[in-house]
Amino acid sequence: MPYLATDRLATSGAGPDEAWAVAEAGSQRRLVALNRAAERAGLRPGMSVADALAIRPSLKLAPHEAAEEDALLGRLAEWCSVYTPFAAPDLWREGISSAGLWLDISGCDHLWGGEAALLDDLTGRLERLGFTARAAVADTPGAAWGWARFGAGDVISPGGAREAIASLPVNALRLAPEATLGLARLGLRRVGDLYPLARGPLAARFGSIVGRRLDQALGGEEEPISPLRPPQSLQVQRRFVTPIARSEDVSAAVRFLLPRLMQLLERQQLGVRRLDLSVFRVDASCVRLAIGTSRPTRDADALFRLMALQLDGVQADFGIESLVLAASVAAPLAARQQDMEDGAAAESLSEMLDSLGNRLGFGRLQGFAPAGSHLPERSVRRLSVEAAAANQPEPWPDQRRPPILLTRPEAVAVSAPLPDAPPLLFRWRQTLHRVRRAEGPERLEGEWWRDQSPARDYYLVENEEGERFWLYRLGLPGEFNPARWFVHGLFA
Amino acid sequence: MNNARSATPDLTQLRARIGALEGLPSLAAGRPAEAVPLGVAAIDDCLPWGGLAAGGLHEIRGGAGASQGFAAYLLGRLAGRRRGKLLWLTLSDHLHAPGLAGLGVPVERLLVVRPPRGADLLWAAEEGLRCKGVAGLLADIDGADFRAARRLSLAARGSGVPGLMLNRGAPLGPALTRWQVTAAPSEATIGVGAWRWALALTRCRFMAAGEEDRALQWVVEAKHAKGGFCLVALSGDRSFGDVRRRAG
Repeated sequence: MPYLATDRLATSGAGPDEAWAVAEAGSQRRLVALNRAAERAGLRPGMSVADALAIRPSLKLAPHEAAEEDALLGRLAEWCSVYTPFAAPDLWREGISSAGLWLDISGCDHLWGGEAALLDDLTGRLERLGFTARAAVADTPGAAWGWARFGAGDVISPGGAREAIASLPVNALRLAPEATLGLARLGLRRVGDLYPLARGPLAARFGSIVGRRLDQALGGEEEPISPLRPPQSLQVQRRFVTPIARSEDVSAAVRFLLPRLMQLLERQQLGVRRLDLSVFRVDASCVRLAIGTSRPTRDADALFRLMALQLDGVQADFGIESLVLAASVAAPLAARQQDMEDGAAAESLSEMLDSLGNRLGFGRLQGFAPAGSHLPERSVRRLSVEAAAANQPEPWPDQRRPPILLTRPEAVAVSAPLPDAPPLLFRWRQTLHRVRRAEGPERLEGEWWRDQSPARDYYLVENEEGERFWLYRLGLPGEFNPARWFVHGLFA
Repeated sequence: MNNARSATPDLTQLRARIGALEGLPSLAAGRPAEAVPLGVAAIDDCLPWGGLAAGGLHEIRGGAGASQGFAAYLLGRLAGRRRGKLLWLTLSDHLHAPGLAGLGVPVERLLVVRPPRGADLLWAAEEGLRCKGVAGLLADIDGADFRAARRLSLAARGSGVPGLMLNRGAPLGPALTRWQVTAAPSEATIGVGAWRWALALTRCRFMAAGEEDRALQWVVEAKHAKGGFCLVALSGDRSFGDVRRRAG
């Protein structure tokens, strides 16, 4: 996409016929990218801004926003996952203006009627969105890169890469400017010029990169495209000839896809733990929805109900052209439930927990198990729904513990007759409590291996009304003067 | 049917019939609706179902510690008689599992749900009450408007799941029973004795005529017996007759 930087400006409202350029910031401002009008005026990337303005005084300048461009490329690459799961942005790298997209279309092209048809479709769509695009298909990513930028920009037939790129300038090998300049000084201007050369001296002069890029272009070295997201084998897709926009249509399409995905899963005896719905819109944007389940399931109706909670939020904008439903996390699930009665209850339970989890967040559902700490605030382990489902009875400590434990102990004013005696009176939350009965102290030492917190002496006290509290005094008797008392819990 | 028409329509019977029309857990002759006894004979005898009726709402009110303690005790009783998970819905982060275990709640079966807002909590309570795989549900709520309370009640009725409503707000209309719980001073020669609560049953559907809105009161003490945690009535109303006598 040779004009990505300026196309980006054009899509956000810049006029098409004016000469535009994007320049980097700094004292020595140089042009980074140009639009066609600017190129026709004889400007070239790398020129200083002053020179450019001398040639074309009406040139409009915009700052170079590499991060923004990368983000745009990322979005376009996401959208290209319509064509293939292996799509990735080719981001701006130091000195090499790539601004492109990688698509590994092996095995995908027949869906579009061949490689050439796929290319036409891709460039056509990008053009309609206001992006000039040149695309090429080749055996290797390296050859396609060069052919798209410096060649004719079409399909290189299998095995034809060596001949095809021989006539291209050495820039087509994705080399840094210094390297191409160096090669040019030696009279090596074309990629073909490098074929007969021995690698050793080349590597000594320019580093291993030249040889490597050459190998990558010719297929001597594998170069995988790392996709934006890992491809999903457990996915189903539906494309629409006419883009859809109504939410009923989207729901209907999801209803159509779900049973198909469930069939895929059933064949492998898997159940969904996480379901992703990708909605591809005509304006090259993509929305993703996800739902989770607390245990593997293949119940299409239940999954649809969970999905429906989110479907309303999908904005169709200019229309939706494709939906992809993927089971991004799956877990083994046997073919049938055995125990009917219990099975139905367990099924309804997990369905209910899924519905709670998807609306409130699974983090808001917790089970508890004893943790190996004597400090009350660390004595409980919180379990996820999943872990809680398999929770076994475990013994809890025998001491009396309050069912309500304040997250932060609250300081109270206390009158105690002696440093190591329970209080007679205490004031908590604006109320004065007279202690009628008390039990304690139970000394809980600080966990010295964790922090330097002092010991606490806990008392169970009952006031005249019969309300029971868990109070503690910080530190050993007399360690703090005046003594510091806190309410930590409420008993039943 | 014939029989019912010929008999003098006693007010209790009429109420029961209206209740049946409303779909409340009925008291059809000989076969009381599924109920979970509290394990305190003095109280169970007074309740028309012989315990806490499943498939309805039971409201618990009172001071923070005592009402929660009693609610936890009831939840433990439900767990003992019914299969499935226990759900505890609350907005706060104060629940302390060892303390709940001490009140007889089987913590390994407990799931605590902490919705971000009260509206979500009511929604979640409805979802939970509708689910047959729940042994008992306890919702810590701050009142609910009539519609919401009615929805909860209908959900519980449909599934037969008992719903305990630990309510700090206005009383709930559709509740089958309403309990007012206050802490009562304990007795012990040294230290703090076993928990004691003063219970008042301030509402109970299907009570004998004239009794429905009269409070029945007990003082109960928590005992750690062999079979686990249980309550013992120390004093209070033994039967309807007692109440009548005192009232007269």
